[in-house]
Amino acid sequence: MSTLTLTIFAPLWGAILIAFIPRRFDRVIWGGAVAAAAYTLGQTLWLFGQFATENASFQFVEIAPWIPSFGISYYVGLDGISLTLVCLTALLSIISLAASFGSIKERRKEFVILFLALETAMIGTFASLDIFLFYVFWEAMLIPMYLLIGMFGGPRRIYATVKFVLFTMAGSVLMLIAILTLYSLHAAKFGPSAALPDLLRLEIPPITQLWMFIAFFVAFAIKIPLFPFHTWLPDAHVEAPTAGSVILAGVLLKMGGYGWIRFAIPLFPEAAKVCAPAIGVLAVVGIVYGAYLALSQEDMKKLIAYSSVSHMGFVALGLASLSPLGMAGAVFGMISHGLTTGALFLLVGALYERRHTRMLEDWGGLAAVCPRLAAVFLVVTLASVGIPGMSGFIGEFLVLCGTFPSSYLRISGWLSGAAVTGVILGAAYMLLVFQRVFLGAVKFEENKRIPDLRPIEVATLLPLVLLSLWLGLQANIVLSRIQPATAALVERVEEARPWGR
Amino acid sequence: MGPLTLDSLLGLLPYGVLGAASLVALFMGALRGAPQSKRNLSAILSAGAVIGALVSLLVLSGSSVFSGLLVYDRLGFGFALGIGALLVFALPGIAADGGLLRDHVGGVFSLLLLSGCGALIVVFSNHILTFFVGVELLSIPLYVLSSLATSRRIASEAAYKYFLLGAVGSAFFIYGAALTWGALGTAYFSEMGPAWADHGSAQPLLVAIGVGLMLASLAFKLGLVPFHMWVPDLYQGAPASLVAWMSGGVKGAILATAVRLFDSFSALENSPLPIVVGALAISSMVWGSFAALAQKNVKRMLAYSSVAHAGYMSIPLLSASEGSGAEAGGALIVYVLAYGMASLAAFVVLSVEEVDGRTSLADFSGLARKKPFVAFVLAVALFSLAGMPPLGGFIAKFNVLMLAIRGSHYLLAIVGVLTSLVSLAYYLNFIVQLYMREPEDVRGTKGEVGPAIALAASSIVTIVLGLLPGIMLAYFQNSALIFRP
Repeated sequence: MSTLTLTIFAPLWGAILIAFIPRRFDRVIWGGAVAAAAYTLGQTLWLFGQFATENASFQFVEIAPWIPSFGISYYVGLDGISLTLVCLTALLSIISLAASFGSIKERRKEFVILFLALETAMIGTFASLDIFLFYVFWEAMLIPMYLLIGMFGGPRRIYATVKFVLFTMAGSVLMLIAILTLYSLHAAKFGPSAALPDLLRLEIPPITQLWMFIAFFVAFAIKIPLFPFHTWLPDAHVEAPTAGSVILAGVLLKMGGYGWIRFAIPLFPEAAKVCAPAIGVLAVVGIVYGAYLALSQEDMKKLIAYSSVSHMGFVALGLASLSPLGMAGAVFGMISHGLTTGALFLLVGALYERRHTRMLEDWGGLAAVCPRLAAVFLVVTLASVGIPGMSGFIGEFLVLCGTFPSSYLRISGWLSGAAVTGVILGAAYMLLVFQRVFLGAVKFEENKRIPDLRPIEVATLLPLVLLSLWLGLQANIVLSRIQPATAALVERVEEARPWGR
Repeated sequence: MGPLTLDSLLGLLPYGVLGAASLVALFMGALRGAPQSKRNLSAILSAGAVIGALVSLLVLSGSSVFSGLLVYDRLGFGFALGIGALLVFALPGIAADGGLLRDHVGGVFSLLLLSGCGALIVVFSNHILTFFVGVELLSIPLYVLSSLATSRRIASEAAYKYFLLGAVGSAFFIYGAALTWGALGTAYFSEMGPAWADHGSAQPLLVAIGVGLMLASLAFKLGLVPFHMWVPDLYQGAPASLVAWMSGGVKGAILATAVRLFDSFSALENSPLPIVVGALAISSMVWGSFAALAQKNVKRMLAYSSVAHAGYMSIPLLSASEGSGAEAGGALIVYVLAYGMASLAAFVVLSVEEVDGRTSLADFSGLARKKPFVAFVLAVALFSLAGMPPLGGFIAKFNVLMLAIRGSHYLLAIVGVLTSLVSLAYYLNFIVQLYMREPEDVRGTKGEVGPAIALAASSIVTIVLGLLPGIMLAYFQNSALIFRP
C-alpha cells in the first residue's frame, strides 16, 4: 500500500481501532489518536521532502478502479498546491487534538473518533483527482464536522451546525448537478470517466461552461467564504469547540479555494475569465466588509471569524486575478492564514479556558500578569496582520502584485486599492484586540491570578508561530512547490480559446 | 400453452417453498413452549424459507415459465434478492415485537411468508393476471398484519384505511388492465408497448384510460402524490417492525412491474408517459419533503419521507419509458436496496424504542448516550436516506440523478437535489435529537439480540453499498436485464 493512501486513511484506521478501546482507558485513547495524527504528519512531511520541486505534474499518484462500469476510480495524487495543503491539514490536526486534551470534558472518545474521521476526509479531498471521489470526500467531511460542532460546541451550537451543514450542502448539490453534466458530456464523447486529466480534455460550449462554472463556484464560494455567502461562518466559528474552530478556519475554508483552483478554473477556463471581474469585486467587498465587521466585534472569536472572511477575500482576489503571482500568492496566503488563524483560535481558546469569557471588555492589562501569553499573542497578531518578515506579508503582497496588472479583472487598479485598505483595517482591529486585552491596567481582580502559558499550550502554539516566521523569511520552500503548478494553470487559462471565435 | 410438465412445475418452486413454509409456520404457533423461543424458531424457519426460495431461483434464472406468464430474468432476480434480503432482516425485528405477536405467532409468520411469496410473484410476473395474483397475495396479508400493533385502535384504523384504499387500487388495476387487454389484444406486459405502437391508435381513448388506470394503481401502491394519503396513517398505526419490511418490500415489488411496463412502452414514439411520470415524481418529491419537515411524530416524518423517496424512484421509470430500461432497472434495484435497508433500520429502532406507541421526536432525545449502538445505526440510516456519501443512499441517488441528466431531464435533477437538501433538514433535526440533546430519563432497556442483528445487517449493507458499489452496479448494468420476447 502506497504512501499517499496510507497518509489519507491512517487517521480513519486509527479511529476504527480506537472505537474498540473501552472508554475508561482515556489516556490510551488520546495516546492512540495523537499517535495516528503524528504518524500522518510524519508521512506528509516525508512527502513534502520527497516532492520534486519545479515540477507541475501530479506526484505520488495512485489509481485503482472503484466503479469500473462508470469509469470512476480511486485516483489520488498531489501537486504542489495540494501537497502544502495536506501538510497544513496534518499539522493543524495534531495540534488541535493535543490542545483539546484538557478542554473536552465529556464523550472524549467520540470526539477523538470524529476528529480522526474528519482528518481522513480532509486529506482525501485534497488528494482526489477523480471528480466523483472528490465529491464523496467533500461531502463526507460534513458529517464529522456537524457532529463535532453540535456535540461539543457552545450554547447556540445546534443552530450554528445545522446552518453550516445546510449552507454547505446547498452549494454541494448544485455542484453535483454540474459534475453529472460534465460526466455525461465526457461520456458522450470519449466514454465514461470521472478522472480529472480525462475531463480536462473536454471542450465545453460557452453557455454550458458558464453555468457549470457558476454551479461549482457557488459551492466553493460558500466554503471560502466569499461575500455574500459568508453568513454561516461567524456562527459556526463562535459555537465550535476550540479544535473545531482551528480546523474550520485552518483547513475547511481552504477547501473552497482548493476546489476552485483544482476544478473550477482548469475545467472551465473561459468562464473563469468572464466571471473574474465580478468575483474580484465580491472578493474585495469581502475584504473590506469583513474587516469593518471585525472592527466592531466584542466577542473575540467572532472577530477572528470576520477577519477570516477578510483574509480569505485576499485569497479569492488572487485566484480571480488568474495571474501567476496572484494565484501563487493566494495559495501561499491559504497556508499562512491557516497557520496564523489557527494560532489565534488556540490563543483565544486558552483565554477562554482561564476565565470562560471571550468578550473584550472582560479583559485588560494581561501583559503584566502573563507575559509569555502576551508575547505569543503579539507575534501571532503581527503575523496575521501581514508584517513583512512573517508569512502573511508574502501572501498578501504576492496577491496584490498579481492583481494590479491583471487584465482579467478589468478594474484591477481600483480593486487593488480597495484591497489595501483592508490591510490597514486588519492592522486596526488586531492591534485593538491586543491593546484591549493585554495593555493598560488590569481592570478585574480575577484577571490578576491567571496562569501564564502552560507547557502543552506552548507546545501547540510554537510550531505555528515558528512556521509562520520561517515561511515569512524563507518563503521559497513552499513557493518552489506551489509556483510550477499555478504557473501551469495560468498557462492553461491563457491558452483557452476566447468565446466568439 | 403446453401441458403441465415437470419443467413448468419447477418454475413454481420458490412459491412452493414459501407456501409450504407458511403452512408449517401456522402449525408452529400451536406448539407448546415458551413464547419467545416459539417466536425465534418461527423467525428462523421463515428466514430459512425465504433464503431457500431465493436459492431455488438460481435454478430458474433466465427461463420463462408458462409461456411467459412468469419470466426469470435478471431484473426480477435483482428485485427478488433485494426484497428477500429485506424480509430476512426484518424477521428478527418482528420476532422481538411483543405487541405484534401477542396473540397470533403462527398466523403472523404464516401471513408474512405469504406476503413475501406474493412479492416474488409480482417481481417475476409478465402478465396481468400473474401480477394481480401476486399483488393481492402481497397486500392482503399486509392489510391483516397492519392491524396487529400494540395500540389496536389506531392500528385497526390504519389497516382499514389501507385495506379500503388498497382494494380500490387493485380494482383500478384490474379494470384498467381489462380495458388495455381489450384495446391492445395482449395481456403480456412485454408486448403491450409494441402493440400500442402498432395498433393502439385504433382505440386511443380506451388505451389511454386503461393504461391510465393501471398507472394510477401502481402510483397508489407506491405512495406517489396524489395517491399518497394512506401512507402517513399506515406508517403511524401499523406495527413498526412490519413497516420496516413493507416500506421497501412493497415498493420493490411494484417497481419491478413498473420497470417492465415502462420498458415495454418505450416502443412508443411521442408517448405522454414521460410527462405524467415526471409530474408524479416532482409532486411527490416536493410534497413529501416539505410535509415531512412539519412533522413532530417520527413515524409520520418517515412516512412522508417515503413519499419523497417514491418520487425519486419514479425518475428511472421516466428513463425506462424513453428507452433506458436496463439502466433504469439497475438503478432501481440499488435504490430499493439502499432505501429499504435504511428504512428497515429506522423502523426496527422505532419498534424497539417506542413506549406505549409514542414516537415523537422528543422521545428520542439523548439516545446516543443511553444506547450508542442503536443511535449509531439510526444515524447511519438517516444519513443514507438523506443521500450523504459515503453511504448507500448516496450511490442510489447519484445513480438516479445520472439517469435524469443523461436523459436531459434537468428540471427533475434540480428538483431532486433541492428536495434532497430540504429533506436533509429534518434528518439532521432527528440526529440532533439523538446526539446533541440530553436524555430525559436514564431508563436503559436491555438490548435484544433479534433487533440487534437486523440493525447491524442494515448498517453493514448501507456502508458496503456506499463504499464498494462496483460489483452490484456492474451486475445490474447489463443490457440483457429485462426479458424481451
